[in-house]
Amino acid sequence: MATSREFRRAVLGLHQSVLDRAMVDLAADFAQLLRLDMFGFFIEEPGVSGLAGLPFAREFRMLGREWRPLDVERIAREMELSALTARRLVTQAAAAHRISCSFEVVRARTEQAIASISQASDIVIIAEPKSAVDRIAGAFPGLAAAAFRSKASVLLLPRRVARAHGPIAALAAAPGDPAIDAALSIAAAARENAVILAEFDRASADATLPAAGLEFARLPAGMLANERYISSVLDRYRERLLVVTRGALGEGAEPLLLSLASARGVPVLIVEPAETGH
Amino acid sequence: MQSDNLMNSKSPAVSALSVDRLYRPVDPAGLPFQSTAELAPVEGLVGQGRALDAIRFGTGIDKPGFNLFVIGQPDARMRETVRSLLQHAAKEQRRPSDWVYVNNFKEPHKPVAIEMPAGRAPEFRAAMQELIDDLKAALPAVFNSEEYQTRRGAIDEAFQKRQGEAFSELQAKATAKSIAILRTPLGFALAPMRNGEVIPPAEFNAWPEEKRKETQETIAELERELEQIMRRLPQWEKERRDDIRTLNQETARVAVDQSVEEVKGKFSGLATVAEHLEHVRTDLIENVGIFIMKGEEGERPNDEGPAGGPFDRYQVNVLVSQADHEGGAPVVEEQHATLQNLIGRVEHVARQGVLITNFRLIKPGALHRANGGYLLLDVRSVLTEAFAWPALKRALRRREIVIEDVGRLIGLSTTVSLEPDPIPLDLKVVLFGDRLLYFLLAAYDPELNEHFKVLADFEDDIDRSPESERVLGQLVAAIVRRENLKPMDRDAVALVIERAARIAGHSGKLSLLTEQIRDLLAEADFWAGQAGRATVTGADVRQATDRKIERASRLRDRMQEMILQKVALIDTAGERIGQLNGLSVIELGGFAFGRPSRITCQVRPGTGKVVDIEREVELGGPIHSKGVLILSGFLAGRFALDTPMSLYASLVFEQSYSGVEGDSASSAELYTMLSALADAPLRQDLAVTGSVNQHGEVQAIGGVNEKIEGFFDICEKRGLTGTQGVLIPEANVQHLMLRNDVVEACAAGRFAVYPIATIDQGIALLTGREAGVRGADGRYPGDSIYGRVEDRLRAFAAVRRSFATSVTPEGNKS
Repeated sequence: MATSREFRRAVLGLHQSVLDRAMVDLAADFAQLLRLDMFGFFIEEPGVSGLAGLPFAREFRMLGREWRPLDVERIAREMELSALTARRLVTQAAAAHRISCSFEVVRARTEQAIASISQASDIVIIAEPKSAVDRIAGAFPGLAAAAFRSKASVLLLPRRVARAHGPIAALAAAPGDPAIDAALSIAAAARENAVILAEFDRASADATLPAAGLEFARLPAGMLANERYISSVLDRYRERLLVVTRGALGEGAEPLLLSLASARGVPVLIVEPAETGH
Repeated sequence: MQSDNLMNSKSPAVSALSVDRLYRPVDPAGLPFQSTAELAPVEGLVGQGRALDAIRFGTGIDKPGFNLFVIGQPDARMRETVRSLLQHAAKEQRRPSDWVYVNNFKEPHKPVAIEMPAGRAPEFRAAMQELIDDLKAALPAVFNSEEYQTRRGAIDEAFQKRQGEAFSELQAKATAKSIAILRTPLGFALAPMRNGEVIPPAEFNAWPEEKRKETQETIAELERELEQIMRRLPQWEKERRDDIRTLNQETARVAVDQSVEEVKGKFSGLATVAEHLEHVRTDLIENVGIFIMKGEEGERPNDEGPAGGPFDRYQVNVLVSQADHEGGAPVVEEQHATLQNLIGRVEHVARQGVLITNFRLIKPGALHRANGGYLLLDVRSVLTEAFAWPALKRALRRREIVIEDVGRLIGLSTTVSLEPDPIPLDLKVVLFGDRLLYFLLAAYDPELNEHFKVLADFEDDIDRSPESERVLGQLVAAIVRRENLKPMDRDAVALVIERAARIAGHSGKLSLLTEQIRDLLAEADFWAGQAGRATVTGADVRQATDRKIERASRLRDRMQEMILQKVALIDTAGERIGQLNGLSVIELGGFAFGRPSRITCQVRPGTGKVVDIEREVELGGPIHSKGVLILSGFLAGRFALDTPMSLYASLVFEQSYSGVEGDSASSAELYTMLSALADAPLRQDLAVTGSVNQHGEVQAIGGVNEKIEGFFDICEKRGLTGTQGVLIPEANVQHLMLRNDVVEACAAGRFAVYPIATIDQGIALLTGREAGVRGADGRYPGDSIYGRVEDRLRAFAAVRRSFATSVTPEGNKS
């Protein structure tokens, strides 16, 4: 039986490589939808700050496409400016969506920062950078890995969102899958329908499901982790958000979820399994 | 010779004119009706055969430059008449084309003009609006389709994959060599690492030099590879944008082609429309971004430009359309002929403090609206508006309408404006004006005849005959009917006809100034209504005439009052030497009245000069001065031919404080001079008007009725003595249409009007002495006026001669 989720904060980790207004607005949009407070933090990686102390350190500037020497003061100043920018983006987005927010600058490695800040009642929002380079070499891999390792739920925001309206879809491995409960809650809040793609019959979960505003799609066994198959089924519904329980698609399914979010242009919410949820 | 006859023949005594010469009434027998309700109306082209022929010719000839210039008196209702004629003719003519302006996609500042069949422009405008509305719905749907999203996602993924693969390879190589690729706020940097963490500088510096050098070389090699990848990114990005643009255009083409073809189908056969639609198709496909969601990465077209809203460029500006026009050619009348009202204008709107414009803000002028038909203009209005006359001529010469910015013409405009396509011009311009303007233009504007080759000159009057009186009666009936006035009885019509003769200033003519006749009819209708009559009678016409004069006569009354109170000195009885009553006419605000003026003359020996005091003080006009100079000619040719003229004479209009113009007082001035020379008194109970030539013939003048009435009024108010009267040129007798009270006084022998042909007749009447005829000895009789004049002049010559011989050449007395 699915249990009701009680999320409190939408936690948005920002890095100097990921300062995208549209992404912050989208995060605030979801925080408003889920009635969460917003908590933004800027990760100031000590490794980057320390670079300037190396005798040969230099930086390849994206603007101008040229190598420039690094110095401690400039790096510090640019970091500070990036943090201020991040704060401004978060507070403006929260104000625009009329949600409360707070902001911190965390000087730590990305994995440590996520681990120290996130709580089980949080949704950590990870935004996929638009640039492939940033997805590979920036903070994104570290942020995503830390978020997946944390106790919090995770919301993956794709670099391009395909639509602003549509049903809330859940991938459910079993009748009591928490993704079902989360999807129903969000659908009710967003006044959208819910769609459940499940590897079980509706009858086995019918008692816990609402009669109206819900569609149910029975998947063949073993297809829940098949990206192409899932995607072809979801094409019929044109979902706005996909909810899945961590581990429901098997261990190490994070790349699959990232790929699914990116390919469909749909945010993916990964909730904690019931035994660790509230 | 005529002059010899005049000098040698004795003039017959002048008799006062009989009553039938003073006013020509209408013969009621010529008006066979009781009321105008019985008459078949005749429209306003009575007696205008010449003008009508000109208008028919002007409208019929289809050659450049044969535009019409219609001239005549302002009250002739030329405009109404011509408009009515043209509207009638225009119904039989072809409806002209519609014209629209559309955007020029290659050069937006040069909007394109498209000619369309009559009445179809609004349809084209609606079709284009529908096209855009359809695409606003269809294009977003196409771009939101799964197919598009899939293809678009594939392009993005291909790009991401390309980027990712290149960078992943580098990342893997770096990781294998324990080198971290770090993202800095503004770029990338490489650093040695261990267990995923950057080696602190202090530790690195503690490494053996060889190890440090090796690490640095590794980093340098990886930096080169990083740089290569980074330098390829813009090209990959460009390729991605190109792929997306191609995809967008392919996707858009599906919806655009269908919509554009639908519009083309509606206007098949119109090549210019089809050509424009091809430009629209191309532009729609290239700028499809304005129809689909905003904020698309890198695909937002420029939707803020001088053309205003992003969809404006596809709309149609209907400049002129015949859709609401019943049929035939247009007849357009422009009352306010400014440059912009004539040739159209390009309006601007303020946006963020800047004046901008686009093809939709092109507004038509009268030339556009009248194109293919007729444009009626008042020439005075055109001439008094800056740039309007030259612009009209330019348009007629070029045979096309070019919208010109007045600000640019005078070099003031600094805003961005348009250069719309010229529109071919094919119309007849009809100018209305008075004769003076036409003649001035003809004299001073050599281009007038190039553009206005057809003159339609409206007659002011027609010859009076029983037939013309009857036709005028029908014209009155037409006006009564058109103006919805009460019918008029025969007496009333007769009075109106007689009034028409008075307006014409000629008992043998009838005025065609129908505006004045219409006013009289309207006022008579009013008074009939006041009296509770259903039919307008003669009494109403008389009252209308009298009350109109009364309303306008304040100034006349004040002037007469000044004479009666002897502020202005005018004698109406007795005799005076060198003094006579002259007559002038004052016309103010359309009301004319006569006013007597005292003319005096003083003579003495001199050098033969007649001094016109009015001219000396610059109060006399050139024609008046000419009249005075003629007097010298008269004296020189008639008296003391063997003696140098040794006269000094001064002539003046007494108590005249404003300008004096015209030569109608020259006979009176001559009489006063003869009186002064002959020392013979002149009758003050008579007034004189008429000009004179050097042979002593009295010539016609204007305003004879008003002049007689002006002197009559003074005499009548002082009490008519029975001897009072006015001397008028004999040639003016035909013009007499005197007021009823004057005629009645003459009939009763209390006032008289004398027709004067020569000075001899006039001086005899004024002095009671014979003018004089040279006898066989070549001399005038000694007691005749001329004999006394000649004696006086010889005496002046003798005085001058004696004075000359008493002075040495050096100026000393001998």
